[in-house]
Amino acid sequence: MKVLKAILYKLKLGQSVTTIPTVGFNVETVSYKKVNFNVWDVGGQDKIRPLWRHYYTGTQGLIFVVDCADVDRIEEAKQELHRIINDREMKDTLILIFANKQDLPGALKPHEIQEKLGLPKIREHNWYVQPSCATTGDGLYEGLTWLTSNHKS
Amino acid sequence: MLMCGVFYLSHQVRRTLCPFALWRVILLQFGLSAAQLSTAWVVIPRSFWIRSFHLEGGRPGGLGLLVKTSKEMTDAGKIYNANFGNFITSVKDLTVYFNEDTFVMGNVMKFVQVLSDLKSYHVMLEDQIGRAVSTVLNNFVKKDIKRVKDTKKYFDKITEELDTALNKNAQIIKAKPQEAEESRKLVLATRSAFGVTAFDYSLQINELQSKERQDVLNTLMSFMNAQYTFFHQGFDLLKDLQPTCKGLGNKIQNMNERAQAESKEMEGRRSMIPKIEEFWEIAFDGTKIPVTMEGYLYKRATNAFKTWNRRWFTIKNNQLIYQKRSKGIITIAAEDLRLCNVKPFEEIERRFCFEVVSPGKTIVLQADSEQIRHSWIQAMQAGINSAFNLMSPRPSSVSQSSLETVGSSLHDKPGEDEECKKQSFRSKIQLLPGNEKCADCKQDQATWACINFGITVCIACSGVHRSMGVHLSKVRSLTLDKWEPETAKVMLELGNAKINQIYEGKVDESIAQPAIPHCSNAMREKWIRAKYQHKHFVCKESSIFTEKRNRFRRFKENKKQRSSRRKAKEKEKENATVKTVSEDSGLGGSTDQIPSSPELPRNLEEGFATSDSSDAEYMDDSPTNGETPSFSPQQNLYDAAASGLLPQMCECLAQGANVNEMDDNDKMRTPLHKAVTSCSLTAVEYLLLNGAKVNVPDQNCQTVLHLATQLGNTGMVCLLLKRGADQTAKDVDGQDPIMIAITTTNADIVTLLRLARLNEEIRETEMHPGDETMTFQEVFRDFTDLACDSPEKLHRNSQGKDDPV
Repeated sequence: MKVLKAILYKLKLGQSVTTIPTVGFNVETVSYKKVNFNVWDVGGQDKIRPLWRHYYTGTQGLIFVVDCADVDRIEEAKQELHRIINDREMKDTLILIFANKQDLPGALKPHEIQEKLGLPKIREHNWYVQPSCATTGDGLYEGLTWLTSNHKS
Repeated sequence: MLMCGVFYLSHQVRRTLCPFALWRVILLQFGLSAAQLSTAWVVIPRSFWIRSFHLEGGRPGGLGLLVKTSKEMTDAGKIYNANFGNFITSVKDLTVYFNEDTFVMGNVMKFVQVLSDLKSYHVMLEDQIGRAVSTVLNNFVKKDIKRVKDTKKYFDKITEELDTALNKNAQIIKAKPQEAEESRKLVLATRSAFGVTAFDYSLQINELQSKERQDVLNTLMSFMNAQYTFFHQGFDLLKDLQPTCKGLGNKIQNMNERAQAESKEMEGRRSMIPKIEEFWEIAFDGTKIPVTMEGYLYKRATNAFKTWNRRWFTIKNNQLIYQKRSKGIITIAAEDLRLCNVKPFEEIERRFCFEVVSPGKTIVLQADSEQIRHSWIQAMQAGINSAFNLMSPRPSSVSQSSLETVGSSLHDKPGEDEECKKQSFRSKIQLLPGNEKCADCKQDQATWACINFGITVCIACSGVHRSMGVHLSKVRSLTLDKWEPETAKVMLELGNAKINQIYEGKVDESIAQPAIPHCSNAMREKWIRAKYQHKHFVCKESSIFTEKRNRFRRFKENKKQRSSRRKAKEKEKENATVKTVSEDSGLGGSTDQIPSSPELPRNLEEGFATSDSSDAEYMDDSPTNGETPSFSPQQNLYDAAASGLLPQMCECLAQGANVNEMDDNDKMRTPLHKAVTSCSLTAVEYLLLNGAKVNVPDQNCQTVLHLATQLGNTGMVCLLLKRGADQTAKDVDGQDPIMIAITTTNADIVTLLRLARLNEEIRETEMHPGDETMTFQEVFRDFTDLACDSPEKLHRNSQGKDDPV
């Protein structure tokens, strides 16, 4: 249930930043391979999750960042993910999952994340799990590449 | 001569009556002597004057005109009075503006009273003039003069008859003496009638004349009297007012002087105008960030022209609104600040711009200066933060949909009460010693928490904690996250003061400078990592916690056989309330649910329960000389877990104890096993939050779930199942937890185990969480709440079921 901000600013600024929790949201434009991504990073605390639906309209891709080290809350992440993608407004979105914090001890591997999030059963969406590490930037551009190549413009 | 006179007369009668002509006719007709003539002059002439004066309507002047002008005058007077009345009303209305000012109000009301009196005098004057002039003179003109006029008509008729008779008489020829005689008689008769009529007529004229004299004078006199009364009354009235006016004059003089002094002072302030820039700087002082703010900003129109309009913006009620200068209709720029983001906007030619971004809408605004822009951005950010902090868990519009979409919120069923309870534990957490400030940088507003340490931190430090990874620090928001009751109780057992005693036991500033509010991120991160990740500042020797414990251990060994068990047990109950912060819920520490079980190391349990407060007692009883046996942090952790003492466990972990290491002196049990036997949900939750593995078997292949089931601790079973305890594990006798529960006939535990297993199966087969999962969550939530709020209920239930067996 990690927010996107560290990834967002890693992509935007090219450097690792320690970010404070997002209360509300951040919006940035990130350019990669001549494609402009208008990225909305929304806070993940329990009580502000109901606000997410306000951001659904017009969304073409969902980047869902999972803290692979937080095994205790993976089930919670699964429920939230399915809640999002089952929304009517999100039916045509691409789903990119960053299996983040791969550098930490005990982090779940991408295939484990895939299972734990119940992704193989998703038929209606095009999804992809990308292992990543926001602090080093590993995997971030690979994720964006998948988004650009799968985006039907 | 007569012919001439008659002609003249008839001519005059048809037109106007000339007094001299008539007079002459009468004179001739009567053939009066000169003496008579002179008498007649005396008697009649004035009346003729007056008649001509009044009866001749064609000429200007006369009584008619007097009546007319008098009527016009009284009409005008009525209009004047009406306007005067309006004037008084408007003076009275003026008092509305002086509602507060009793001085002005009192005087104005006094004047209004006087003016009203004056008005009534005016009305009286009108009335009297009307009656004097109009009524009296009107009567004179309409009645008296009319009678004279009637008489005159008769007189005219007789005159004509006389003329006719004389004419006839004149035409009689000499040859007819008889006719002449008849004619002479007719003339005589007619002449006699004429004489009577003429006299009557003269008499009436005379009477009229004398009456007129009186009436005119009388009228004028009443008029004068009315005026006299009016002015006299007015004079008296205003004379009475004189002292008031004089006093008021003085006061006005004073007021004037004061006003002049004030205006002089204001004039002095004019010199401050050039310093207006300073005023702006003060008004937009960046140190205090207001949640409500208003002021003028330029707003870029969203239409194609992108024109800039100056509007008055206000941050209020978690919204951003604006209106035109004339305070017209209020437009909502941002309906919900929680859905807003504010940041400087530089990709534009204009200076001082910033944008307010929300889903589907971006507003570009421009401030008057860089400083004002900064203030606005800060105020907006503060407004957004406050919108989140004030956010009730069921915001009106949002929660409607969240009820549909967020499964877990469905289970917040008791609503308000539930929320109050949660608020109260939140404020309880914040009231713990040290919790009002960030545990790491000491900044106010510590609204975030690291649940595995049991501390509160500021948002900046929470960012660093988060970056270390959940294996080191688990961050939650006190306000924006949902809290499990067990987690909240862990927080209540610990707190910044206790934890910093451990983690800042011996601060070495050569390693890292303590973070301070608003310090750099690098400094903050260095400090926090040194403190928690590398544990540089933890005292390796026993702190007060272990010191006490060690002393107690000696005490315990010496007095093991003492028959103080009962006594200790009583103390334990007392101490429970002293020790636990959440005493009102009857939970915390080692005190919740202590079922009698042969597995429990009894004396240890009792001893620890008293350890905090009965130092003195065992100090007295035990010999204090000799070496204090030293125990490894690991051993201390086992003991602390078995007693359910959180700060002690925390210290042991900080000193390097392994949360999952098995105790080879005690059936290869982990600290979690021991915490379960302590029956403290909070202690178990604490260990789980700090990385304790839930499914580790001891040498008898018993997992913690086995233990909790054996103890019949429903709340514990519930907690362990929630945290992923595996219920298929079999112990050395081949029993899994459900078999144990069935044997001990604990219906609640059987239900929980079955439900959890069902839920597991559903989760494996189905993609979406269905109704069954809901039931699972609902039941587990109920049990959790029960275990945390009133554990005795759960206990009684299982006891009740145990009894019949």
